[in-house]
Amino acid sequence: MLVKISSATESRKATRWVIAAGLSGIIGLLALTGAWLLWTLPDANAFNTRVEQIFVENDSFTSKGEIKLLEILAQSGTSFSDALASYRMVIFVLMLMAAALLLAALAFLSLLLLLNRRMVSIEASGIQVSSLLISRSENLVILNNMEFQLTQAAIETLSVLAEARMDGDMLSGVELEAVIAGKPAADCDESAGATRVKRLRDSLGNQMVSALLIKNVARRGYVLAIDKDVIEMI
Amino acid sequence: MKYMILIYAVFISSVADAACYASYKAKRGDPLKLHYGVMQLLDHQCTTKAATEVSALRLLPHGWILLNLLTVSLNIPTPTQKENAGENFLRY
Repeated sequence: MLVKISSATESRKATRWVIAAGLSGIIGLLALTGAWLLWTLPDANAFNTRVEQIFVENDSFTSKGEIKLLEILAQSGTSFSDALASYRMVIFVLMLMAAALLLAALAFLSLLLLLNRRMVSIEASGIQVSSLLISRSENLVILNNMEFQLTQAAIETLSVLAEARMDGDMLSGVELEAVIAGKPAADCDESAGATRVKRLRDSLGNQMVSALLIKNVARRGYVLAIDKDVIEMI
Repeated sequence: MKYMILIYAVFISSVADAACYASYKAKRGDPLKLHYGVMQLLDHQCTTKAATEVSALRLLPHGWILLNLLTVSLNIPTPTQKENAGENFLRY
């Protein structure tokens, strides 16, 4: 039976899709509302046509005074519709600002979610290497801002492994020894390469654990560099 | 002969007097202006349809749009109509 496997990258892809859909949904909704707002508010002529209708429908409205009154009514309506137009503008600007804020909030929220998820995966996987800098001249390795001093031979081994990784290759012990010692592979021993790797691991691992876990405070002693609460004894 | 001319003149003037009068309502664009008026038409135009066409055409060059006709008749307008129309009495 096939088991459905979900990976971090897969869920990240899904999240990205959800974010894109959500954002476009919000933008679409706001655009619709804006169009509706502009569409439904009465236009400047609505009052005039209304007054005109009243004038036409009532045959008795023929005296000068009545006509003048109707004209004044239409004018006040028109000036009110000018006010309405400015209100509409204000509402529109406010809506745009609200939309921008909403989008920003959503973007930050999703960013936070992504960060949180990545933090969880980092915590679970122990150490995540985001940068590896090898300085051959100083026999120095800088791993995520942590500096480790290695021997010449260990640096050599690490450099060869790094070059092979960049080419997407895998090295056997024989090949490793052949590259480092500069001899044909037929003359090399598997165990020699394995020894080089073991020395590199010992030296780098020792330094890494002392930097990350078992710290040495000068003249005071040793301490575990972890939170008290995460320790459990079985 | 003199009498003939006199009679003819009297006849002509009486024909002119037998004109048709239409009272109408009209409007003008932004800002809205309304007006009530009476205009004189030829008596063969004394049907609602003809009077509507003629009066609309007469008002249009002055920027007025005809809204509706109230009365179309051969009778001489009443004093109330004359007073209400004011300066628009037989103006167009």
